[in-house]
Amino acid sequence: MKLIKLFIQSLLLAASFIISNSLVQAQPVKDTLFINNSGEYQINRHIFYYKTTFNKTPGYVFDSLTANDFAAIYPKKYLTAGTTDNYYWLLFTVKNNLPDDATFYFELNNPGINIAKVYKKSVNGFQLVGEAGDHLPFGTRPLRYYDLVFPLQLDAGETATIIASLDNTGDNVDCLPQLYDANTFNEKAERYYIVIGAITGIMLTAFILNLFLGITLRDRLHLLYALYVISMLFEMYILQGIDLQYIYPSHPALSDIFKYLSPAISLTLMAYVMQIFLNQTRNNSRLKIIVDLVKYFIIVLIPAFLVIYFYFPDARIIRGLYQQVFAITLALQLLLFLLSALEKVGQHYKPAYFYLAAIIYLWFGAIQYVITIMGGDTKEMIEKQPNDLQIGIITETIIVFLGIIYRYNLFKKENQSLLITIKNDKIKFTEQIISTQEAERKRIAEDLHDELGSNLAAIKLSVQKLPVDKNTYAPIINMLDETSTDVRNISHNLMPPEFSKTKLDELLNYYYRQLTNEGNINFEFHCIGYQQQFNKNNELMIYRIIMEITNNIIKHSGATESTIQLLFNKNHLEIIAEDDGKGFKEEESKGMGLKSIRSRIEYLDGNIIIDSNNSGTTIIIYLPYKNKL
Amino acid sequence: MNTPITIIIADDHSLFAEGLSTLLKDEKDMNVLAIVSNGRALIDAVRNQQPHLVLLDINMPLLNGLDAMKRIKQEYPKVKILMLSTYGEEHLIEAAKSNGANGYLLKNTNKEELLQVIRLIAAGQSSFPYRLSPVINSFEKDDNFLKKFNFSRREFQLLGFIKQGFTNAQIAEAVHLSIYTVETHRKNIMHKLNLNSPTALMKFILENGL
Repeated sequence: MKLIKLFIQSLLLAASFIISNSLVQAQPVKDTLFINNSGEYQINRHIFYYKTTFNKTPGYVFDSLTANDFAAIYPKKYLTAGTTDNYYWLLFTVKNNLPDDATFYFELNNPGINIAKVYKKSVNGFQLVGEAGDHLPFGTRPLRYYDLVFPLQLDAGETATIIASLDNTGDNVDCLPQLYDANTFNEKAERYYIVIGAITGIMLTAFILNLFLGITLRDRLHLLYALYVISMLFEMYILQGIDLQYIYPSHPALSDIFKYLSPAISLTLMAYVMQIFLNQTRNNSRLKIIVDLVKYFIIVLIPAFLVIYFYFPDARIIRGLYQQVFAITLALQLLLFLLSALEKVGQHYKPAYFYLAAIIYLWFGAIQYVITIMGGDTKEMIEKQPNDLQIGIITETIIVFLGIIYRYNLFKKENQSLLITIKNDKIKFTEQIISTQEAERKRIAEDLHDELGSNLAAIKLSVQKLPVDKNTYAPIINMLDETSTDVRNISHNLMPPEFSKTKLDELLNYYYRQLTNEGNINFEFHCIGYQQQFNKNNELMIYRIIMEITNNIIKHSGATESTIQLLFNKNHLEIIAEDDGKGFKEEESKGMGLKSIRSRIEYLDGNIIIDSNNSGTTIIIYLPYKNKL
Repeated sequence: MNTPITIIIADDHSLFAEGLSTLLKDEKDMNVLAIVSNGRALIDAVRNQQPHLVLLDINMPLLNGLDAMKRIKQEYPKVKILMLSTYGEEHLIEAAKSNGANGYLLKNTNKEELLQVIRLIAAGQSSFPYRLSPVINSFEKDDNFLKKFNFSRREFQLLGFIKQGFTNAQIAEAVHLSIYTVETHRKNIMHKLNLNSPTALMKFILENGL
């Protein structure tokens, strides 16, 4: 009996409780958040949610549901459901214990929600605080902010129950409800704008620089990367909900479409950037074909989505499916990028280290994103602002940018060393031709001198032995002597005897003295500071230049006086050849003489100045020592 | 001249060597012992036949004349050596001298000169071609000055203008040269004198009473 009595009592008690409650406040869950101070309030301890497959009216949720229908978010701070077709309702009761009337800010921390509506039930009645979301015109938001924020007006001592409906069907439902007073909210918003501004600045700098580099260097990679940066910046704006709704506040559909398209575009561009940056080809990478396949699949996803969006506007399930397919593809593609970078690192391709560093963090963020989309629970993804995906996008952009600069410098260095090699090969080749030619000349000179010279001498001896009067053969002896001199001069011009063992100054000294003795021109020769500053091959080249100039003076100038000077200075040789002849004009002088002088000087990296008029010619040649030793 | 001068001819040009040999055979005071065509054969021949004199060519196979001479002079310092070469270059004559040659003749020499030099050397004297005379300067009175500082005629001429205070442009016009050429000469004058300012150059000109 006692038990029955107790049962009835408790029933009555419960009934009176429910009746009194519904009469006074109609509060499905008895839990109140008291606002006693300023700052952020721990709303997560007092907020509850309810999910339903059909959209309900707030009145139904408010009046017909009991505490059993609601679940607490606490001990978590956030609600996450992945891509879903359900509607979610949030519920909390708040009492303003402050002495004044005040506005509090209720923020959802998910700008991507299609439609969020917030209602307030207080003693004054039941009213819509505001509605906001991707599917609604931006201009109608209660607060024009990137995120969905609802200002709640509470008089001093007022108690209000707030319910919020979240419609993000066919998309990823997650939210982190927060409540703060006006000051705290404003400070937070300000911090946010600074961060977004800084990131925008960095990305735009990278964009402009690469656009410039792409145009000036005509390198496809820079242009692609510039496009990629812009697409990534746009994607980041979309993730933050600060995209097209700001530009077209009355066309919410635009930002809704791009929410789906932007990541696909970014990922496609990223694939192209990666493949060029890592120089991934069929020949050097086995992953190339798989990356290509995934890339083309993503490209196909873009029109596929448009078809879904415009032809099946009510097929929310398909849209959800699209989201999930895309998320898995994204994870796969990023994994392929990571493997591609690893493959290239294995091939010791240096820029790959940059790419590896860039992709690892992005991958970490992207995996969290994928898990969230698939309905998994990733605390960081929702609580962290900015989250790891966003940080990953920015770090990836910056590191790849540094990598592109590094790659450019690397290529430049390789190009330079290649050019140097080509130049060296050319010099070697020229040297080879010259040394072959000189060897040939040497051989001919020696043969002429030794064989012909000796034979002429033998003939002379034989003639002198003839049993006739000395005067009879005197003309023959003269002819023989002249021929011997000619042979000797020809041979000498081809190659002075023992050139490699003879000092240039001694050789020339002797040569000019002999010329003065034998010819009509008085040659003066000065050589100062000679210490064999050039190697023998180059010295031979210099000798040839001097011979050519001397021959010109003898044959063409008509001079009587000539001065040849070799001045070996600290870093260069200066050759000065002067004559008092009739001068010449270079364009009038035919023949190979001057041409061969010029080409030899060019080979020695020197230069020549010819100062000629009808009272004489001065030739000044400058030949540096460096590089040729 | 009781005993004839014994001679070995070393030359790889057989035509010349034979010609030489027949020429010497006519001389009663000369006796050609052998003709060899390379340095090694020569050393063997000298060792075996101990000649008074060797007529030696420079360019020969296996061992050239200069090197062969060095070794002969070490072993048999008394053997006289007369170089017979087609080359008249001073440095080769110097090289022959320093390797111990007693004389040096060009191959296209006269018969008389050749015979005379052979006899001279066999008698213990030496005979080398005269050095070529140095270049005759037109500024003979300033010869020493020119030589001392290695000035060219042109540079000496310019020094005169510089002394009179001519600018480079004025000098260029006066001597029909370009300004660049005059500048180069002026720079080289300074360089040769180891001076580095126009004032120092002027001081030098005045001090040397040019």
